Amino acid sequence: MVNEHEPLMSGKPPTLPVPTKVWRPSDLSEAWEVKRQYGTEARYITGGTLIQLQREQGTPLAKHLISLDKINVLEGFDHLEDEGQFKLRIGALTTLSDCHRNVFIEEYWPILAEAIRHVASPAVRNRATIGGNVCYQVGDVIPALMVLEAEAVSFDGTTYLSNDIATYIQLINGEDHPILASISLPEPPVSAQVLSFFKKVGRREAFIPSIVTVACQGCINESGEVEYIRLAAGGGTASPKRLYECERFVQNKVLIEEDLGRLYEMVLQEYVPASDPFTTADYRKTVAANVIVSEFEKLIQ
Amino acid sequence: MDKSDAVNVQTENVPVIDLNLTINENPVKLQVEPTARLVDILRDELQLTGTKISCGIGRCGACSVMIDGQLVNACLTMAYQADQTSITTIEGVSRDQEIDPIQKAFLEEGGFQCGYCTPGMVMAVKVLLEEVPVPTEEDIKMALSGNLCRCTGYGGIIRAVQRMAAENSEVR
Ligand SMILES: Cc1cc2nc3c(=O)[nH]c(=O)nc-3n(C[C@H](O)[C@H](O)[C@H](O)COP(=O)(O)OP(=O)(O)OC[C@H]3O[C@@H](n4cnc5c(N)ncnc54)[C@H](O)[C@@H]3O)c2cc1C
Ligand code: FES
Ligand code: FES
Repeated sequence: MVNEHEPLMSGKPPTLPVPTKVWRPSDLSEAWEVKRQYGTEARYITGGTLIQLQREQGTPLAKHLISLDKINVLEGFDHLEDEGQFKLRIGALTTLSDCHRNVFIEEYWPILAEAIRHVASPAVRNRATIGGNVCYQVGDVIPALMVLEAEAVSFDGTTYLSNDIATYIQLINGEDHPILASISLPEPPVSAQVLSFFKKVGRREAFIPSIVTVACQGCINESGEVEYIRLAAGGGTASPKRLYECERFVQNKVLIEEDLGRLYEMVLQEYVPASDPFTTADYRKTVAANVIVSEFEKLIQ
Repeated sequence: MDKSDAVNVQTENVPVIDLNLTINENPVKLQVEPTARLVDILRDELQLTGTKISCGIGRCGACSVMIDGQLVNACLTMAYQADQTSITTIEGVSRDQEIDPIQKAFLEEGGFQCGYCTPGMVMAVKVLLEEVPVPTEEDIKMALSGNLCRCTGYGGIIRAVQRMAAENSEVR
């Protein structure tokens, strides 16, 4: 019989959770200073949807949460002109819902809208930010941003850095990682035919970490040649990656049936996912290869 | 460091903040931990137990409320994030002792059995109909994609929303 006055488990007494202090700096320099002051005991927070999920799953909150929600420069959309090219700047605090509703994203970067539609539910997307999705390092929006050649603009305490998404995701692994300030989308290339898709394969349609997420942005010219192609794949706990070898293989080709067999093999070789208790890396590779090849097959037909 | 007023939301040793918000059109002032979950504040501090708690991780929608007109999961919202906002819970949906037409449609179309998911469903439908008064079936499925029902099946729920849509289209 269990004596209610005795601990159920022997050994170390349970430790009480340390109360968390929430900081709400009003600019990036202040946020940076607080993070420097508390180092690994501090974590940035925006929508907090991932942090709250992890808290419920057993990861204690950091002793110091640095909320970026009062930093106005991280909000909203701006249209920029850069060397005659049109760009859309999306502040890191912008919610996924606001991105999904944005008419420019819908018109010029539809695969980003499609990727967002596959993240969680409307209620989660009302709080979850695009910056939080990128900083999650495995967010579903990342493959779409990669093929759109989006730039991550971040702040390292003194200057603003501009990196491609893959490079920024690597920087997050460092302890003093730069704060993501915005994402810039360059004008998409124009062509006779656009080849663009975003596919998320999961155990359920949405709401669950994907098994595989694949994104593609490409152009086909009047002769049917692939003039421009960007491919990326992610899913599971491994950060999404561009598939450069596969892109080089497809580039400048008028694709025929035999090329697809070769492309299938190349995806299996180039895409390096991780295994987890539910899904092996080999299974993920096969799914990615099937999805990519079936989309290209539609093009040939 | 030049700290702005907004930097620290708590005093050095006391892990609480002053929370000022409006709930169902009533001003509310509370002292709570900044990272307390909104769902616990509603249910335990304010006895607004119409908002349910089930998964606790944003997956079921039982805790859905409106913050500044937007649907959110109260289990994913921390107290400091709710400061200075206006919240509507299921208790704020009915007016003058009259249930909301959405609640009536759920009743009449068999939109629930145990009713545990229903407050969250009603909040999600309310937000949907405010944005899209005459939604398609696809709109309805998308809007309710974060709300799980474990006993009714979704037929009655979708019927209830379609009935509202039909009524709204007649009004137009
Ligand atoms: C029910 C549920 C379902 C989900 N489904 C999906 C899904 O289908 N696909 C998916 O991709 N994700 C999913 N997620 C995970 C998560 O909600 C999203 O990835 C979301 O976009 C994270 O954004 P956030 O603003 O809430 O991030 P937060 O939780 O605030 O932060 C996430 C991480 O990023 C860091 N961070 C945030 N902003 C910055 C910044 N500007 N600079 C530096 N670091 C920063 C934080 O320190 C933290 O480590 C789901 C979560 C839940 C609760
Ligand atoms: S309890 Fe909040 S979504 Fe399930
Ligand atoms: S009516 Fe029982 S869970 Fe929906």
